[in-house]
Amino acid sequence: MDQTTFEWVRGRFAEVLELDPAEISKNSRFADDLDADSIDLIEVVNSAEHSLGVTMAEEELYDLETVGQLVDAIDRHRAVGE
Amino acid sequence: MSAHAGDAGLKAAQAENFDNLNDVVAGSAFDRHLRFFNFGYRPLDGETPSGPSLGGAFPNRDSAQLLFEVVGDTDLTGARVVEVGCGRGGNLWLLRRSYEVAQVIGVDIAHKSVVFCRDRMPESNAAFIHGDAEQVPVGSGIADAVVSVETSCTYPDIESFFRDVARILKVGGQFLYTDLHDVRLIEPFVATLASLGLELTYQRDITANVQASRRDRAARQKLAFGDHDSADAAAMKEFVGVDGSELFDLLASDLSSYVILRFTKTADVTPPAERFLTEHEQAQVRSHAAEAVRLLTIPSASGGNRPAS
Repeated sequence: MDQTTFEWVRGRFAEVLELDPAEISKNSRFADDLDADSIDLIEVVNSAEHSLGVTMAEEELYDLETVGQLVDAIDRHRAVGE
Repeated sequence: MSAHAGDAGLKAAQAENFDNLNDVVAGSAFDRHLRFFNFGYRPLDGETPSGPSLGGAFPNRDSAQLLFEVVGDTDLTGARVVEVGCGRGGNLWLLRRSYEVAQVIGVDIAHKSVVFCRDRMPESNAAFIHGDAEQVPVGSGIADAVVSVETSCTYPDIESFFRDVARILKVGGQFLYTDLHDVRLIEPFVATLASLGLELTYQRDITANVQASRRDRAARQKLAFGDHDSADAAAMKEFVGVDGSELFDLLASDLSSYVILRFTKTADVTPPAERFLTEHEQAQVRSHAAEAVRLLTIPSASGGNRPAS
């Protein structure tokens, strides 16, 4: 489950940021490593909500710094069957 | 007497602009994340930003930083804060999140902004009121702090706003204020507030920081307002202040200064009927407000331009 979510998130970030997926790891920080901003992050989260059937509160996004943290947040929602 | 025949029309136009903007945002994928409508603040190289640190992908990061700079070292623990011109509530949301304020009250002239705020902050210690900044619909002496961020430049009768700020504040309360002003008017504004019992405690020109934010963020932020046809796109380009827009040029001009001003209310003053600002200064204020409202014009979403939601 975790790997699947990570693969999905990595794929979406690669598309949005026009990067090679191999450049994106769980430890990648949005701003410092990927040069991603909040608009990129929100795009990926909106896609996750549509494609993975999760609903994330706005507040959950505000302290996220890394791809892995986003994956964990999505997985928490998937685990409770949203 | 300062009331002016055109003022009501100007305020109605400003309310309509922001109601239209809410409609535009409601049709975008960023609706629930977009809480701020201001130019933002970007720390310059070597500068230590004020306030809590924010993640690199924190939504509306520069707008959040602008609030932190406006607050500075002001202690807002347990405070009741009134924001005049609260827009979509970003500042009050952030004050609740990052400072231990006790209660927030937001006032805005755009009904749809007030509805958004009420929906997003239903907590019992947050209230949002539809109202006019020149006749703020809250009681006298109730606020520990009044916040005003990049909104007063659209007020045709700014002295009425200043008088109301003085009325609303408790003695010892803080007025935390920032906006883009005609440089010739800053001194008269400070003098007017002094006459109303508000002592200036801090003043800083942040024009370069605001310009840096616009240069870096405006084109990206325009994307958050969704897809538009060319008429809307031109309006949004102006609204967000991209490099080359009239608003950006105004920021870059020597005639205007984006300034943070903080005041402490030291005494209750019963204001005289006679105005502190001269007729000439009031005319300048009114003219700048009309210009600002013109530049911030957002076409109605009912014109068929609203993106599919």
